[in-house]
Amino acid sequence: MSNNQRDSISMLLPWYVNESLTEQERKQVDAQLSADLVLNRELRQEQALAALIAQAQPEQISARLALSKLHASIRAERPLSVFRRLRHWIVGRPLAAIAACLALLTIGGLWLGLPTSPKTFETLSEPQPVIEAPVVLRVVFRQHVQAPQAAALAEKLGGRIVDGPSPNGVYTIAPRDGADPQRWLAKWRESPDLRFAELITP
Amino acid sequence: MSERESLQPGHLTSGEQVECALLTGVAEGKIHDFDQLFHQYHDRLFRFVWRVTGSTDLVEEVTNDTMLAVWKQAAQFQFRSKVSTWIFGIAYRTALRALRKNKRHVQHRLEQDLDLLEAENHGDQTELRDLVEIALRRLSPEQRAIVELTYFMGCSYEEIAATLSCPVGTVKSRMFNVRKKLRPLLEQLT
Repeated sequence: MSNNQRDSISMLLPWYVNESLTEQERKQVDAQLSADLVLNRELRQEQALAALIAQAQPEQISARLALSKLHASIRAERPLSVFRRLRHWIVGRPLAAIAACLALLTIGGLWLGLPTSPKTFETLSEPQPVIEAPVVLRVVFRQHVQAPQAAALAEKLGGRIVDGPSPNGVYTIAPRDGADPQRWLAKWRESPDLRFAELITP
Repeated sequence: MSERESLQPGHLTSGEQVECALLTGVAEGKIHDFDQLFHQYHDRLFRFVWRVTGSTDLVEEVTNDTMLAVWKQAAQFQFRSKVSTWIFGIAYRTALRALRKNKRHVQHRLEQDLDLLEAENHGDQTELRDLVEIALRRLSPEQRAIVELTYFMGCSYEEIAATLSCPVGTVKSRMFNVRKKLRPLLEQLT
C-alpha cells in the first residue's frame, strides 16, 4: 500500500471510532489495521481522545428557564409571523405566488359576475344547525409497519388512510363513522404498532 | 445529496420520524410540538454551541436564537435532510455570527480562561482532560464544530459536511489539521 493510500485510511480513523463509516470503508480500515502497528497506535489515540472529549461538560443552564425566555420571544414575534411566512413563501416560490394571485383574481371575477342568491330561506320546520368540525388523525407507525399493514390497522381501528405516507412517514387517517374523536384517539394510542398520534382539523 | 442524507421514511429511525412529525407541527404553529422539539435538542445544542464558541457567555443567547429560527423557519424546511442536520446547521451559523459580533470580548475571555486553566494545571498534576480542553480552545470555531460533531455527536463526515454547508473534502482536511495540531497531546494518550 502506498503512503497516500495509508494516509487516506488514517484520515478515516475519527469516523471509524464513531462507527459512522460505510461497510466498505470500515473493511478497508480493518484490513490496514491488521498489518499496521502505527495505525493501531493512532486508533488508540483517537479512542482516548473521543472518551476525553465526551467527558467535558459545559455549565448547564435550566432548560425550563431557557424555554420561558423563548416563549416570551415567540409571543413578541407572533403578530408578525403570518406576514413573515407569507413573505418567505412568496420569495421562495415566485411562480406559485403569481399562480395564486391569478387564481384569486379569477375567483373574484367569477364571484362578481354571479347572480345574487336570496339571503333567507323558508322551510317547513326550523332545524337547529349542527356544526361539527371534521377531525382526522395524524399518525406515525413504528418502523416495522409497512404500508399494507398500516392500511389494515387503520381499517381495524375504524378509519381509513386518506393521505400518506409523507416523506417523513406521517399518515393522515379519517374516521369511518361518527365516533367520538377523543375516544377514537385513545383507541389508536393503545395500539403497540403506533409511535405517535394526534387529532388535527384539516 | 448523499445516499446517507436522503430522507426516505424507511431510512429514518423512529426517533427521526418523530422529529419530522414534531417539526411539521411547529410549521403549523403548534407550540406544544415546539416545546417537545426544544426539550429533545436543548442539551445537545447547548453543548455544541459551547464547543463552537468556546464561550459560556454566548451559549444561552445562541441556543435561544437557534430555536427561535427553528420556530420561524420550520415552514420552509423541505425534509431533504435530517432535522438534526438542519437545526445544528442553524446553530453553527448563528454561533459564527455571534463570534464575529463579539470577537474582541470572546478573544479576551478565551485568553483569560486559558491562563486560568494553564495556571491550575502544571507539572505532574496536569490532568489530561484539561490539556485536551486547552488544546481544543486553541482550534478555530470551524475545527471545534467538526470535533464536536465527530467525537461527541457521532456524525458521519457526510452529515458534518451537510451541517456545516461545506464539501466533504473540507471536513476531512479540517479534521486532518485538527489531528496535526493535537498530535503532541495525542502522544500522551497512549
